Amino acid sequence: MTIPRAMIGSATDGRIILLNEGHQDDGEPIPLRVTGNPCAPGGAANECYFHRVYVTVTHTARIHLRCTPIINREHVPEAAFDIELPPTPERRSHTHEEDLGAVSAYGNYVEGLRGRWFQLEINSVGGVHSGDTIIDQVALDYLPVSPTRPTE
Amino acid sequence: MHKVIPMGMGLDRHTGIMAVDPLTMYDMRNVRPLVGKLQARRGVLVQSELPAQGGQPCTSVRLLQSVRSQSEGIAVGYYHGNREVHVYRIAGDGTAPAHIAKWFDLPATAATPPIFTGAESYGKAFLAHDEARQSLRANTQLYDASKGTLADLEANLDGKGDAPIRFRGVDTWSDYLLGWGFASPSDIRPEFLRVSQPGEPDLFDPEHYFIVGDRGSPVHTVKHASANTSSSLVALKPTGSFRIIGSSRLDFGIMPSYALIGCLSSRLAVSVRDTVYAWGFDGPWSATYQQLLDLEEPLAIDNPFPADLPAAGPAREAFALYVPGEKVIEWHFGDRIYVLSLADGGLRWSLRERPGARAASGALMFSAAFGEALADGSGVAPTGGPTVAAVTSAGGSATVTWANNSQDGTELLEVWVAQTTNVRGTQKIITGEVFTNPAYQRQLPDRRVTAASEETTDISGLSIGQGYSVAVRYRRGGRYSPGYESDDPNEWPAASRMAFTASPAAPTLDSVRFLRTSSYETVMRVSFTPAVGNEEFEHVVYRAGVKIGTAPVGTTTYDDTSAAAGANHAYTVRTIAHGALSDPSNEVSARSSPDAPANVVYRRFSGDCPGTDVTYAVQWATRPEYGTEVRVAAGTPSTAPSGARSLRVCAPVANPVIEARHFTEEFGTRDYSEWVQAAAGSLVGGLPVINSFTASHSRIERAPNDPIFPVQLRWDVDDFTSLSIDRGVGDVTDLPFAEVIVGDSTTYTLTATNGLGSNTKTVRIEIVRIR
Repeated sequence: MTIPRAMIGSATDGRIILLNEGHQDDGEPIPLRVTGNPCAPGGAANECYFHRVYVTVTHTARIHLRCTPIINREHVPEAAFDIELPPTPERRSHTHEEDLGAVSAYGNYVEGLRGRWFQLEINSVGGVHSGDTIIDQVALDYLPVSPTRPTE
Repeated sequence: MHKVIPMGMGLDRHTGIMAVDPLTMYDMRNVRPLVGKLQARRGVLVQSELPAQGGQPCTSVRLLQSVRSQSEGIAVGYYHGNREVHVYRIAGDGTAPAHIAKWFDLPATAATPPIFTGAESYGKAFLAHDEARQSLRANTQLYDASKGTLADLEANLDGKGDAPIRFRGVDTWSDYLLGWGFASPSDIRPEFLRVSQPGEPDLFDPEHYFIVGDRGSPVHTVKHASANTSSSLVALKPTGSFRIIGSSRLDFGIMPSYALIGCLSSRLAVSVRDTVYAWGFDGPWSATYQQLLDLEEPLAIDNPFPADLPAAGPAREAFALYVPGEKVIEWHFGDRIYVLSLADGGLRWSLRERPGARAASGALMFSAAFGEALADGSGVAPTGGPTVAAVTSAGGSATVTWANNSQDGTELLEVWVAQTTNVRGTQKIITGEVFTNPAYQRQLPDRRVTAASEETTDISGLSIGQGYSVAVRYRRGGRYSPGYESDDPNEWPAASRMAFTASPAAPTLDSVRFLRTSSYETVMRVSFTPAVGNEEFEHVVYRAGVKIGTAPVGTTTYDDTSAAAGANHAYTVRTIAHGALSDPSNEVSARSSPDAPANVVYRRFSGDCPGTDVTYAVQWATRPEYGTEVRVAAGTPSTAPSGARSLRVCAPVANPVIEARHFTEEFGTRDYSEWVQAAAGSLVGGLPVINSFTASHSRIERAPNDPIFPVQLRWDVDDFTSLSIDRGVGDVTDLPFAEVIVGDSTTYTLTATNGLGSNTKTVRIEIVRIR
C-alpha cells in the first residue's frame, strides 16, 4: 500500500516539507481568518439593528477565536468578543451567543449595532490548536429600523 | 428576526442570501471550505533539508518527483551561490536526502531561478529543464531507480547519431513518456510533442510526435483528462489548448480544443480525476472531455485584496498541487496561495499563507508501509518494535519510557497519544465518558532512536484527571515494523500501548502544627500549597501513609482531630483530580503537643541556694508563644513566662539533671511538650543590659505659679523579660516611655529582669524653686 502525501520544496532553502500534517507550520502557529459574506438583511437601502450574533463551532481542538463585527465595511472593535473552549476528545458543537445590544420584552425597543451591511470577522488568537477547528455557522438577530423611528 | 449568514461558500460574491455588497472582498485564510462550514487547515512539517554543496547552501528545492516503484523520490536543489543544480534521492516520506550527482551549471543568461518538470515511467524518473531557449536548456536526465544512477536521455532524432535530448517538459501517459519543446539538436520546434516507444520511455522514434498548434508557439504542459474516454490528453499552450485523441500510435490524433484557454506556465495545471485544472491568462479554469468551466468568477481575482495579503509571485515560478486528504488544489504564487476545494462536490475558493514555508515546487510523494530496500538501507522497514515500559504523569505532562527492540539507530520513533476518558466530578462522584476506541494523534516531531535499551520522551498538553493511552512505533523512511503498519495504533501490538491517567502535580506540604481548639479538643493543622493550576482540586491528607481526610476545594489547610496526643506523626498530601491522585507531597513529621524547647543549656551562675546546691542558669531558644518549665532531678518545676529564654534554678553541684519543657495555656488547659534535658554549655547573653535611662528634664526651675508639666522617662535596655520603675510608676515592660509628675527632687530606679537576674539604673530629677 502506498500513501500519497503532498510535499513542497522550499523556495528559500533546501527544506523538503510535508503538507497537511499537524496543527502548526513547523512550529509556527497558523493564523486563521474568516470574514463572512456581507449581508443586508433589511435590504441594501434599509438599516437594521443587529443585536445578537451566534457563532457555532465544532471542535476537538482548544478554541480561542476573536470575533469582530463589521458594519457597513467598518470594523467595530469595541463590539469584538472572544470564544474560548477547552479541547475535547470527540467532536462537539458549541454555539456562542453574543449580545450586541438589547431588545425589550415586547420587541418594540431595541439597541444594537446599526447599519445596512453586516459581516463578522473571525481570527484565531495564537493560531489554531491540535485537533479539529470547524466554524459551522454564523447567525444574526436583527430588527429593521422602522420608518417611524428616527434613523439618526 | 433571525438570519443565518452563509459561511464556507468560498470567496464568492454571489452567494449571499439577502442583498450582497457587490464590492466587498471576502477573506478566508488558512481554512478549508466545506459545505456551509470552514475547517482550519492543517500544518506543515519539515522532513529534511538538502545539504550544502561546495560550501554553498541550497537556495531552493526546484523539483520534487516521486518514484513510486521504489517508494522514493527525487529532489532537485538549486545553489544560487555557484549556480549549480544537484539531484538527490529522497525517501518516499521526504526524509533521508542522498546526493546522486550534479546535473548542470545554470548559464548566466538562463532564466533564474530555474524551473523543472519531472515524470516517472517504468521505474525510471525523467527530469526536464523548463528553459525557453533551447541552447540554454540542460540535457533531459534519466534516473534509473534500480541502479541509482543519473544520465543524459539520448536519442538519434536528426539522423546524426545519438545526442542528448533537451525537452522543456516531460510527463507520462499510459505506456508512453511525453516530452515537449524539443524536435532535435539542430531544430528549434517548441510546438513539438514527442512520444516514446510504448513501454520503453527512454526510446524515441524520430517520427513519433505531434505538432501542437502554431509553429513556434511553445507547449507548456500536457495533462490527462476524461480517463474513461478515448480522448485522454490535453496539451496546453499559453494561447490555447489541444485535445489528443486515441490510445496508441495507431490511432493518435490531435485537434484544437479551446482557443485562448491555456496555461500560463508549465506547472500551473494539474489533473484530478477526469478533470484538468489550469491557470490561464484569464485566471483558473477546469475542463473535462465534455465541459469547460471558468473558475475565475468565484475567485473574483480582479477585486482588490486585503492590504495584509502577501503579494502574488510571478506566474513563471508558480505551480499547482493537489493535496489528497484535504481534496484541495493549491496554486502557489509565491507567498500567496489560492486554494480550490473540491470537497463535497463543490468548487470553493479560499486563501492560504505559509510565511515560513514559501514553496518553489510541490509533488505528491508516495511512501509505503512495505517496500524494497534502498541501496543504503534507508528504505528498509525496521525489524523490531518498541514497547512502552512506563509512563509517569504529573501536572498535565507525562514522561514516556519506551524499550527499544532490535534497533540500529536509524529509526525514528513515532509517539501517538489518545484521550480515553472525559470525566468530571470529585473523587466521590465521577461522571463522564470512556472511549473504547480512542482516536490517537501523532505527537510531532518524531524522536530519533539511539542504541540505548530504554529511552524517554515527554508529552504535554494533557488534561489533568483524564485517561490517556500512549503508543509508540518505529519508522525508517515511510516504512514501519511488521505489525505496526496501520495508521490506527489500536491495531498495533498491545505492548506498544500503555494507558495512564494524567495525574496532577504533587502539592507542597508547608507545615504541621499542634493547636488546641477548645477545652476538650486539639488538632494537628496541616498546611499545604497546591501546584500551580491545581487550586480547583481537592487534596487528600495522609498520616503514616493512611488517608485521614480530604481538604475541600479552595482550602489549603486540614485539621487532623484524631492524632493521638503526645506522639509523633508523619503527614503527606496528594492532589486528587477527577479521581486521579498526584504523587505524595514532601513528608512533614510533627508531635501532637507544643514543640519541645531547643538549644537547652545550663551553666553555673551567681546566686543563693540552700544547702549544698548551687545556682545554675538554664537557657533555651526563645519561643514567644510558649511558656517554659524547668525542673531539677524530676522535681517540682519552676515556671518562666511566655517569651522568656532563661531561668535560674538550684541544683546539686555534681551531675545536675536539669530539664525544660514548653507549654501553652488556652481554653483553661495547659498542653506540654516533651521534657528536654539541658546540657552544659555557654549561655547566650547574661543579665539584662541597661544602655541608658534618662529623663526629658534633669533640672527644673519652678516659680510658685508656674504650671507643672510631666517629665518623660526613657530607657534603652537589652535582653530583659520585664522592666519596672519605682516611685509608684510600676511595670513598664511593654511601654516605650513613662511620664511622671515631679513635685520635689526625685530619683527614679529602673529595674530590668530576665531569667538570669536583674540590673538597675537610676536617674535623678532636680526641682529648684525660685521666687
